[in-house]
Amino acid sequence: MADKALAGRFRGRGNPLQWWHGVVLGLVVAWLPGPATVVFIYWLPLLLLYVLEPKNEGYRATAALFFVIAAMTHPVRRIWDASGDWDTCTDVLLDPRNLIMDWGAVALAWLVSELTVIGLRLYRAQAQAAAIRRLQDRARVLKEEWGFEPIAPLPEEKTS
Amino acid sequence: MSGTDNLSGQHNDASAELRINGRFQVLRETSLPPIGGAAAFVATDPLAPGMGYAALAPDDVSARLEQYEAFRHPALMPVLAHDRLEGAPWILTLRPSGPSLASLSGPWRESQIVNSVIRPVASILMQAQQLGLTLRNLRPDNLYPGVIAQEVLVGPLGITPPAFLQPLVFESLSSAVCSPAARGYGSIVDDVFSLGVVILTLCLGKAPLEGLSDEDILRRRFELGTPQAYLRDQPVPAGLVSLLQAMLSDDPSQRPAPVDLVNMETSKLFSVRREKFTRQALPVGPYMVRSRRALAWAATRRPEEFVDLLRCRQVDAWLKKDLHESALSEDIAAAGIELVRTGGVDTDGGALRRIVHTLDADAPLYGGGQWFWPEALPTMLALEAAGRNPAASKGSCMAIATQVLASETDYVSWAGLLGSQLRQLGQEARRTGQKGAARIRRLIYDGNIWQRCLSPLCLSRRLVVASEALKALDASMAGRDVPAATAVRSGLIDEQMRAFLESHAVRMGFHPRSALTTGEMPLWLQDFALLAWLQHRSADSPPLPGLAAVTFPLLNGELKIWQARSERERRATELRKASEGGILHEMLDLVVNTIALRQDRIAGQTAQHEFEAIESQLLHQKTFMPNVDADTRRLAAFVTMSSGIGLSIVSCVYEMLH
Repeated sequence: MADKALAGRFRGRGNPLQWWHGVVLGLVVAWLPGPATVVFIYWLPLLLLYVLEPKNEGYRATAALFFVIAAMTHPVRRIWDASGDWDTCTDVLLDPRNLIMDWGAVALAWLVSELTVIGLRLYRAQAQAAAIRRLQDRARVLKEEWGFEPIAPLPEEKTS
Repeated sequence: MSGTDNLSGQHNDASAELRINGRFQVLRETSLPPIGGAAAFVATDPLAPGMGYAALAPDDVSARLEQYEAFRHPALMPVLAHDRLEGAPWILTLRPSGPSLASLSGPWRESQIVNSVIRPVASILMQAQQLGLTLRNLRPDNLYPGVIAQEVLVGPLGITPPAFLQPLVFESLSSAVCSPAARGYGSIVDDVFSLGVVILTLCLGKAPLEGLSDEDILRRRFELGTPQAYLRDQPVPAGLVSLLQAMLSDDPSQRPAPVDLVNMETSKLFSVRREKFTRQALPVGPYMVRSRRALAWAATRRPEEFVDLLRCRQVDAWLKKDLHESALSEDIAAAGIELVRTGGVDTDGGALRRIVHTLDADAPLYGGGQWFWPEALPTMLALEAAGRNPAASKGSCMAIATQVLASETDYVSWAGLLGSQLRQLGQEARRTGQKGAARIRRLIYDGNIWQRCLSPLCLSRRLVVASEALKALDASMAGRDVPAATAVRSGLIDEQMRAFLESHAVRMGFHPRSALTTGEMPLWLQDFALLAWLQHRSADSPPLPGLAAVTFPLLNGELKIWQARSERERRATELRKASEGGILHEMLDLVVNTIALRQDRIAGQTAQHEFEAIESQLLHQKTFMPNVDADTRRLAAFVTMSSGIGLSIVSCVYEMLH
């Protein structure tokens, strides 16, 4: 059932991989083997994120792409300055700081998205608790003024 | 009269001077002998110091006082003015120039009687007849020597219930059988009869049948007929015999009209058709009955014996054979058969009453063991309530009134005075809009604006003004503690006070039903509403702190019908303030306010709904962490994406600058 729905989603979107993607990729690898390798290596965590993340939160991979772009500006400039020769690409690839930056950028993207969600949920829980408190206050005022029968005690607040 | 000793209490606080109509000063220290049965005091007019006025303090004023006040005649002591001073009625009249005729000894001469008594009094009677009034106060102690041409002066009218003080001998049989209170206004022929007895008294120098008890007098009069009983073997001037025989006739239609008496001359002859008396007497118990009238009377005195005679067919046989009344005999026989068929007789029952009415159509109504005119019922009730009707056992008048009003449909068809009086009484009772005993009590006050309040609180003060009664009530309440249970059961005021105040309030436009809120108000609150209304509407409404203090806890308890607590507390505070001020209607408005109460109810319902809504909302409220929904995701995507774009732009810019 879930597979079907998943397949449906892909069908609806249209298969993102077309035959000319393969041709372009092959040409790029043939023409610029260094930068292609760099991009491939650098985009690996993105791929990992895309594969691992829940399918309904596709924005994370996209957002992480911008973080990776931000992390890649310096190595890309070095490769650009060296006209994309293989040695520079290898240097860039073998520089652990760049890799750490790359993985860190993806991690940061993931962290930002997670923190946003958590922050928003906390804020909402707070607002809801405040609303409940307001209602309880109102109910108490009404009860004091009009003297109804006591209301059922509320369950203790829990935070997940 | 009892008014004299009642007033002694007032002498203590007599510092305030009394002025009738603000002009005639009443000197309460100088009392006169009672005039017409009412306590009398000297009154002076500062504008005309020489005139001799008398101020009367009557206990019971007739409902027709205004009519009597407008009735002037040279031979009648006029009601010059009336006023309500300190809440009690005062009547101004002329001071008589000498003692009443009762104290004049010696028989009068015939011409003296004709000129001084018959002509002037007949002239009064004629004028009264034209006005539709009756005097009912012709007796020697109410006749005074006049100033003009030696004519007598008749005492002022309207200062007692009709014929209340008339001794039995001075009353015609149709009124003599009743107790004094039950005599009613009667008709002008009753006055003619009284005048006849006055004449006879003046001729004889003493009242006829003097020394006999009332019962013996009645018996003699019924057995012999009044003219015979009064005139037999008496030294009456020959010229007056036929006149007296006519005037004292037991048949009202045989008495001369006032117009015949106005031109009275000595030795004028009057012819009278003698009443039928049988040779053979019918013994009913100890009574030897010789006439229809006597039979009716004896039947009420000895109902058991009478019914026995009726069963043995002796009554109708006697009526037919001795009295030659065959039609009547058949009626009575039929009634007797009916009576026997229904089984036995109850002396209060309508059967006996109907037989008596058939026998004597001129007689008053018989019921509850006594004779009475229906129009006198309010007076009877009043005197019973005041404890001044010793003839009747306690509560009997109430029982009679209940019976008469309940079986009113029986009488609607009755002809004559009796029927019309009964119909009018029934109408008055219906007009009160009350039920049961309250209705009967209201009759006392509704028919007579001058009826003093009969509540034990102010009986002796002769109060006829509602605001004064309120003051008396307040004074009696001050410092007293009315237990809530008592107030709830029997109200705040006694029944007489309630009837008195209600009657006055209704006259001023109070509608007990419409003034009340929805639903049934407790009795004490109805009372309070009445008192508050009266206090509010009386021109000189004094604060009533005593009443306010007594009712404050009760009213405070009544505030619990208000749902809103703040409203309740506000009202309680204001109620306390109003009760300290003694303003009852403000207190009432705080407690009984239909519109505000309805608003309170509506607000209460709204609050209840809101409360229930909140309650259900709270029950269904999820108190744990909210789920990650599309909104959250959108916001997270936006934040992450924009921060990523921003970061990459910053990174690009940084890279370009270095």
